[in-house]
Amino acid sequence: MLDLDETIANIKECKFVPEKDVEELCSKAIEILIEEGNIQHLDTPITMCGDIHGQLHDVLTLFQTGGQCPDTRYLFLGDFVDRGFYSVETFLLLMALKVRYPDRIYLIRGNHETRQITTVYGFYDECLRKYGSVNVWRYCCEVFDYISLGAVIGGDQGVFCIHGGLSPMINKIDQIKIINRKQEVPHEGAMCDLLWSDPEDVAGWSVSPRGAGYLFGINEVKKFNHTNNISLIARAHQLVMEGYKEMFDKQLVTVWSAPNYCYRCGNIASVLAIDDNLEREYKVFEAGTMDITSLPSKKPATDYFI
Amino acid sequence: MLSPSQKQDKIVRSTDLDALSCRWNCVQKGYFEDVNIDKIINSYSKYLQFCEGYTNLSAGRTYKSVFDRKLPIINRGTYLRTKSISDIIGKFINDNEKCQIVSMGVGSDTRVFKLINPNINYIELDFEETTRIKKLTIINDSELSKAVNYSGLGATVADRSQFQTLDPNLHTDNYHLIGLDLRRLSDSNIVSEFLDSKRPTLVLSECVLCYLNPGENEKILKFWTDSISNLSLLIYEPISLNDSFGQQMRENLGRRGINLLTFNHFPTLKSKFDFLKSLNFQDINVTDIASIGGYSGDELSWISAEESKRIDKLDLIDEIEEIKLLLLHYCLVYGGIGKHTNLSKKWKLST
Ligand SMILES: C[S@@+](CC[C@H](N)C(=O)[O-])C[C@H]1O[C@@H](n2cnc3c(N)ncnc32)[C@H](O)[C@@H]1O
Ligand SMILES: [Mn+2]
Repeated sequence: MLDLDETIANIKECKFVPEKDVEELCSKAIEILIEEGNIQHLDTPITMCGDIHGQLHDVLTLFQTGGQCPDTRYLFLGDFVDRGFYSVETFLLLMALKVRYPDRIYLIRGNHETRQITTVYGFYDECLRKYGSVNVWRYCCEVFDYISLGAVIGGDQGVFCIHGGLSPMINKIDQIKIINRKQEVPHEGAMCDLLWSDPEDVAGWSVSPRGAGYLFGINEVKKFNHTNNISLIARAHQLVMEGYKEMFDKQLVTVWSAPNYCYRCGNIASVLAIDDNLEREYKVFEAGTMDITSLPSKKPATDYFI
Repeated sequence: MLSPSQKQDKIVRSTDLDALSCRWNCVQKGYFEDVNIDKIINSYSKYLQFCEGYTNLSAGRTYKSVFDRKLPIINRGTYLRTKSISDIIGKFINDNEKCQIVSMGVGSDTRVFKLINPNINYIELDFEETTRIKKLTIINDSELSKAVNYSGLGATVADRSQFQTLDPNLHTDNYHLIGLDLRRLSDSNIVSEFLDSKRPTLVLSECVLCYLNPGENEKILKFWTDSISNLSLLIYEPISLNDSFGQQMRENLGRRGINLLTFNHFPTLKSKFDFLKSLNFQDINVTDIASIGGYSGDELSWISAEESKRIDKLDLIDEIEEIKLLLLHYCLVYGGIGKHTNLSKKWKLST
């Protein structure tokens, strides 16, 4: 039997988690996630986090900034893996916390939590490198399929939380509830849009330069918030140098929680704490002084054009 | 043992393998074709072990890293760099009946094999070791020999001493591959001898001058403005923009021993512009790769809608903000003196 507290402590020290423990953790996580709806209705207070992308050391700083779990309740808005050098440990940590404290930490799915994207952006290679086989990657991808799609915090006039943004196919949050989410994220359609779209100063829906999802503007946001009786859309998915960015008369916010993204971007990060009065408090933090020379030896290089 | 300055030069030379790896990845992905790239790579696999500071083992490891997969963001940036420079070279050749191209720090660039014709005098410069590797690639390959009009013998090099004593230069009627430390460009006649100072000339620096200090940059560019009356100069290199991304880039590259010596000295497009102005260039145009690639939302892209559609299918770019940030830190600088090429491209800053 897995000792969760010990596993959590080990992961925080970046120690190797044996494959059989990963397997057990994944099946326990699935047991919990399978019960959660596509949209989870959550109480305040809660602290929201944007993309973390395998930057384990920065996730530890995040918990120091926002408060430790389970003392602080958390909602992570997806993109746990890829790009950073510790995607395995980062995702295992979140899963272990979820299994240990199921109602103190919630996860929703990002566009990187898929088989296709993780084979391109690092998580697959990392699993192969660290475990010598792709089993761990397979177990984790299995879990990805069960992670819910969004959340509503605080009921009436509350906060709608989603990784990417809106979809032209979704007017009402209830429409999300009937999506069959237990699958690889499709290349198009509502589920894809929710995980891929971005807010932008555009009139109406336009093509996204990312090649998936849409760009949506202030009108779409205001209409959606009005229809669904919410006051704010909180999403992640886009790098913001200042850690967070409010748009559209403060009816939408982007939260970004990976400081010095990819050990390259020089940005700061934030988490967003929502209190019982739905007041917002942004807590910003910077990348720790992690010694990059201590990174795993076969690390993918931090690339530039030279 | 290498002295500190030899070590530094070795690191600078090794950047050619990074550029090569980036291009190789782009070719694999279908961004562009390069039928000659494998020949150069093959040459590195044979001869890198004979280069200064390499052992058989370390050369093997370095060689293998050429085939490391690159992220989509790097492929896209490499494509934009290669295409934008090739576009300008193509325009220059079209504009001039007879012309001259000089590529400083040419490394393993294979453009010459496609472009050269009897109306072009093509000069390629790099450190001796690098030109030896290129020379061996050419003289031992019949197609490449034919391309540069070389009809001499091939050569076998079986050990370090044979490699180190091989003449680093290769001259044909209109192709000149010259092993030379650019810091000695103006002290020697080794280049002037093969230069036709009357011809319209395009001088290229693709990620090369950035490894030299501001004084050396000035000296090298002065050499060209003094030697050539109808001069087009094209520079591609990183800029710091004095921001946190630039700062981080300096640190990360510094950790690999790569020092960008003009990075903080010419941190912006404007400072590049002013530098060329101080050297009496008349027609000066600068832009960054983010604009060229259409990531700046400023209508200054060089990529047609059709081409965009094609390359979008090759790689999935997951993060637009990030690629924009990265590409903003790379600039393309063009300067013209006398009769030079009219580029008809969109620039961020022009005279
Ligand atoms: C980043 S590589 C670029 C190669 C090629 N221009 C390209 O873009 O693919 C830099 C090249 O500049 C050459 N280089 C740098 N400093 C040099 C110097 N002082 N003299 C001669 N070559 C130099 C290096 O040897 C290397 O081949
Ligand atoms: Mn995302």
